Amino acid sequence: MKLFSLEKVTKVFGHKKVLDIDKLDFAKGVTYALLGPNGAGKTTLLEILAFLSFPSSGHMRFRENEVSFSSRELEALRKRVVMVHQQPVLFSTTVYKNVEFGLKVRGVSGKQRREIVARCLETVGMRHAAHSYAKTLSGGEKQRVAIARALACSPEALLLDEPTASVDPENQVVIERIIAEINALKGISVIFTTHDIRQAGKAAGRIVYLYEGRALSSPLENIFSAVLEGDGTGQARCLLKGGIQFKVNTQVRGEAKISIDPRRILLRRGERCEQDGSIFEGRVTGLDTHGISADGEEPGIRVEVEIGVPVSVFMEREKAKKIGVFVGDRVLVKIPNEAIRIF
Amino acid sequence: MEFFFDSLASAFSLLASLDPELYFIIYVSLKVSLSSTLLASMVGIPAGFLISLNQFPGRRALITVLNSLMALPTVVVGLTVYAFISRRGPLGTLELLYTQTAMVIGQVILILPIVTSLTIAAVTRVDDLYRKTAMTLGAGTFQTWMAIFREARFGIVAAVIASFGRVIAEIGISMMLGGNAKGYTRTMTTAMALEYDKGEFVLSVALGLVLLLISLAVNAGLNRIQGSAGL
Repeated sequence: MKLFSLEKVTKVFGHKKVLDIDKLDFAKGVTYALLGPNGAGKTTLLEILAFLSFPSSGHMRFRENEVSFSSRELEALRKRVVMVHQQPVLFSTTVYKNVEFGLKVRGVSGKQRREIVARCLETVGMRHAAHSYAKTLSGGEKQRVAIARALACSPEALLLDEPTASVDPENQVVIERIIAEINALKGISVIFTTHDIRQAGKAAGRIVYLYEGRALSSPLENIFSAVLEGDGTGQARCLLKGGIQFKVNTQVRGEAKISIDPRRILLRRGERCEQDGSIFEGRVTGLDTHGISADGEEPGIRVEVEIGVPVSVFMEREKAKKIGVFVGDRVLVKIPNEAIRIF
Repeated sequence: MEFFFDSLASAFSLLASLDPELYFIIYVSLKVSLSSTLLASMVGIPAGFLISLNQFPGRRALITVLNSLMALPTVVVGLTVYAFISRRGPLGTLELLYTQTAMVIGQVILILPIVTSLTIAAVTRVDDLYRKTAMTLGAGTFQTWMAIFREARFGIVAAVIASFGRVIAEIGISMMLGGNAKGYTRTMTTAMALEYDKGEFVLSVALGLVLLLISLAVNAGLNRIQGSAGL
């Protein structure tokens, strides 16, 4: 069953279109990651899904029912979907009263409230802090209490905006575990935004990629601002910051954004001898042996290489083993024409 | 200088002797000031709240006018209210002039812009995320407003205290609309002015001490509130 369906949904702020979704569905009971860089429209989309904001145009359905965005309907729908913001605010009172808030506005009895609050605080490992003043908590603890406060409302969907972006690594692990538990044990649909492809791959069942307000079928990675200049041969010289340049088959000229598909970048050892403008020398700066491709499908190895700009290369395990890649190694990186996408 | 210290010593003994006239003046001052602060708060806090949270044409102009009125001189208020409630005025038949009610009316007009403006400032300072958080947790419009109110409560209490401080120390309205009638509308400030005119300083100094003490208590209260708000 579809939980949310969006069709031709746009959101315009002033003259800027920040969201332009042609068609996007979210199935019930699944954990989704909305993956994209800053300014991709992730928070805007999440606020629309949370019924906190309405689209400038388009249709939205919640559990197969058209949403009319009347204030009365929105108020009722908000009782079924809860959003936790990136840097959540806790009310200036105790942790207990914060978690109790959603239950109070729903008219839940005092006895039930006590049980639910205790259970939700237990889930996020914050029961010991129930009577602490909320403002005294650390960033990660605040995030966990905010999740408990959302869980107490027993929502059908929990929407989390960059849940681990502003917390320390220890709390990151705890929060990722909580997300997995919420979905697996309680069957609550979870949609979270992130710009971290590893987190998306690790914690989400499905990944939706957003770029400049559009939901893309295939993921975009290694995104760079570029200047494209004609060279008289029908090809264009593509200049990136950091002095990197290579040829691209395109008629586009001027400033543009390019993305390089990490699965199509080739990595090898040896000396650069040929006069191939698409080969660059670089140094391995990072390795993720539990890497995952951006669409969450293939497991493999991710290699971060500095070639003047940082590029992420995705390789099959066997291939990486054969080449023998280690952090600090000098390698050659070939960026074939078919790996480049201009938009 | 000796004269000042003599007056100060006599003032302390007057306070210690629980002089009925002195304490009645303090009672009238507190009664009138607390009444006007209460009434102005009952109107100003909800008004400030509604102005902050709603968009309507002329909102900015209204806020500008309210901010300007915060500096309203007491004699201007006194004169305007006098024009309405004096025998020749449109409300003359109500016979309000030289009553405590007249003083309260004048003082409410004086501090209404203060309570309202400072409430607007306090509510506007509350991060919009509190509104969104209350809404996403299922709160209706009124419940959302109450959540915002709770976040702004320290600022709102500060607005009330600042208003009380303004009326307890004012003299223009009390003099023009109260008339400084002994045992009825004589307040600390009007009594001090009268004693000064008579060249009697003992009661003036005693009242001055009490007024300072009240100001100190008010400021200490304000500090404590701002301290608990983490300001």
